[in-house]
Amino acid sequence: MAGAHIFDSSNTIIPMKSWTLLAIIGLLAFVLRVYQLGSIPPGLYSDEVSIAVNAKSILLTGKDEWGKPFPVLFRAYGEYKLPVYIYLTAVLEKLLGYTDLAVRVPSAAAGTLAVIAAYMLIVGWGKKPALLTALFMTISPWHLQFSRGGFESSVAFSLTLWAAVFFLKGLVRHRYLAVAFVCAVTATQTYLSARVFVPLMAVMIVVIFWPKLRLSKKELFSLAVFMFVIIAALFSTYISFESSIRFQSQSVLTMGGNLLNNLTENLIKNFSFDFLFFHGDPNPRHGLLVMGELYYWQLPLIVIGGGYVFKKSKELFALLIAWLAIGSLPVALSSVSPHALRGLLMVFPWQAFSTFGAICLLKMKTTKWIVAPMVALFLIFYLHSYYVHIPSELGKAWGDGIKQAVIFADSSPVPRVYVQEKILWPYFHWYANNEKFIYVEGSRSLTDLKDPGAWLIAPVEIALPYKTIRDVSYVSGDVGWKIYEL
Amino acid sequence: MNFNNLCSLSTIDPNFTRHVWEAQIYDRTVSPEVIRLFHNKIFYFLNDASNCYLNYFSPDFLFHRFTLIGVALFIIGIYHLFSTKKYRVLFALFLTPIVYFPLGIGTDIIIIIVGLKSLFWRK
Repeated sequence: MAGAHIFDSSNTIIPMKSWTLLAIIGLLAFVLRVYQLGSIPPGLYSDEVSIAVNAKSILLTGKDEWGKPFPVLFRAYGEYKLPVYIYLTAVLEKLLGYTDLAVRVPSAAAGTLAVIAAYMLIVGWGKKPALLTALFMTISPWHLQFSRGGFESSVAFSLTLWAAVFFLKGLVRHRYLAVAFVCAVTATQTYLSARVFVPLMAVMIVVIFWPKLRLSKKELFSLAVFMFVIIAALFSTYISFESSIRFQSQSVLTMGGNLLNNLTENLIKNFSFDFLFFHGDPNPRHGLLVMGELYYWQLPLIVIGGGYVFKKSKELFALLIAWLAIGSLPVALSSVSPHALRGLLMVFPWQAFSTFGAICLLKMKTTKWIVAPMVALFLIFYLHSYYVHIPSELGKAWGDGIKQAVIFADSSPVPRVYVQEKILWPYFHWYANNEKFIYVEGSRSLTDLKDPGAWLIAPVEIALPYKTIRDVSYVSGDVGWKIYEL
Repeated sequence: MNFNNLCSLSTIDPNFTRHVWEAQIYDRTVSPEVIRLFHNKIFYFLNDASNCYLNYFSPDFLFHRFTLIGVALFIIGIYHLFSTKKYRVLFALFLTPIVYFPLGIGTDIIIIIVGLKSLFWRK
């Protein structure tokens, strides 16, 4: 092992060959994250379309969909979204137009940058481990899943990794500490999980590296002032009632029963093999359901790598374990566990452990002929599942069919289109250009609508006595929605 | 966490033909070689059987079986056995899910005792 200190990339000079290999891995990461990004997964799901609409609104009017000018918290569906992803999407919409692709590009770009950051974090331990970590991140099903959708978590994860990278750079060139701080604060303004993870991890890293920081009093003072000003400016966003609504509604406190038991169970579920290796997160938007968040072959690598790191550096081992524990806290504190999206911050230590396991195995000449084909085979299986099975089998969970139905109805000359509540309002604002869509309130029966000539969009499961204008199919070919003439 | 129904060979769904058929429905655009590579009976059996086997080492199962201290000692015990190259006990542990009753029973307890021993009776 080349590195004498944990994650010490501050003085590492990276040779040209490594840059070339890193560029190839970076390119692969980019391709895997952007290939057919606008169409797979099919459709935008409810949060993506809400982000898209708010970004569009900001771009056109300088206000969110509720009319609030340049908000720091977006009301959206009432859960109050953090602002960074929406403003990033606004920039992308300016560049790419109002397309589904524009909503997902920030996530894909952040995912690609996270791969580079993972390399930078491990490079202090040698070029080979760093390249392997970058490669494992590149092909990680967990990371790919959330880099290919409008998920704030992907950007928050990337920012957190870059905060760690700049912190390590800052050990030598102190001005990078300010950059690290800005990355960390931005992460906390991107996704709620980061608000739990970043402060705890920051305290731990600062404590570990304090002897190496060697800041002069002047530097310490100016850094403290800089940090104070930023935190003071954003303080209200951390303590306001609105910012805690989402947390309160999804908190572990809402589960009932014994709090300690709930917390412990939630925590442990993040480490269950079923979640990590067999089936992953049961939410169909959070994985493929046919494989875990990590590859099967990573299980032995993590075990071997864990033992290897423990033997070589207790500090690194403790740091990676702490990263996993703190990374699982946001999930443990919520009512749904396991939750791959909220636990995305755990991706990095798993890849790091896998890397060191692979390094151990690759020392044996014969194992590379077993490991490499296995990695390739699982990657092909993942890509096959993702590009062939996801659109057909899990498209409904992504809102497949809604786009087709809304666009078709919008392009028709019909004056009014009634819509069942399952289609949330941002879909009309995103895919349609006018206000002809009218909600049928929950209390009102769909069979009692009296507006001759108007249309109705309803799920196929509801049998209705109207004339069918069109069957709207999912990518799989199954009919999901029906458009009726009243 | 419900571990009342721990899986065994008898709990694996033997209807692999249905699994293969269901998966192949969505593969109409893919070449037959790829379909056969990923959707075959051997693949489904191995997947189910290995999931079933590994479930016995899953942290949620271990936490269900032991306390937090027990799990910590279990991990320490495994590490100790690896580092001292006492592979026979480890072999017995890895055999546990296959011959869970009556041969394998207690191997995990032995590992915990080894963990305790390595902590408090160091040479």
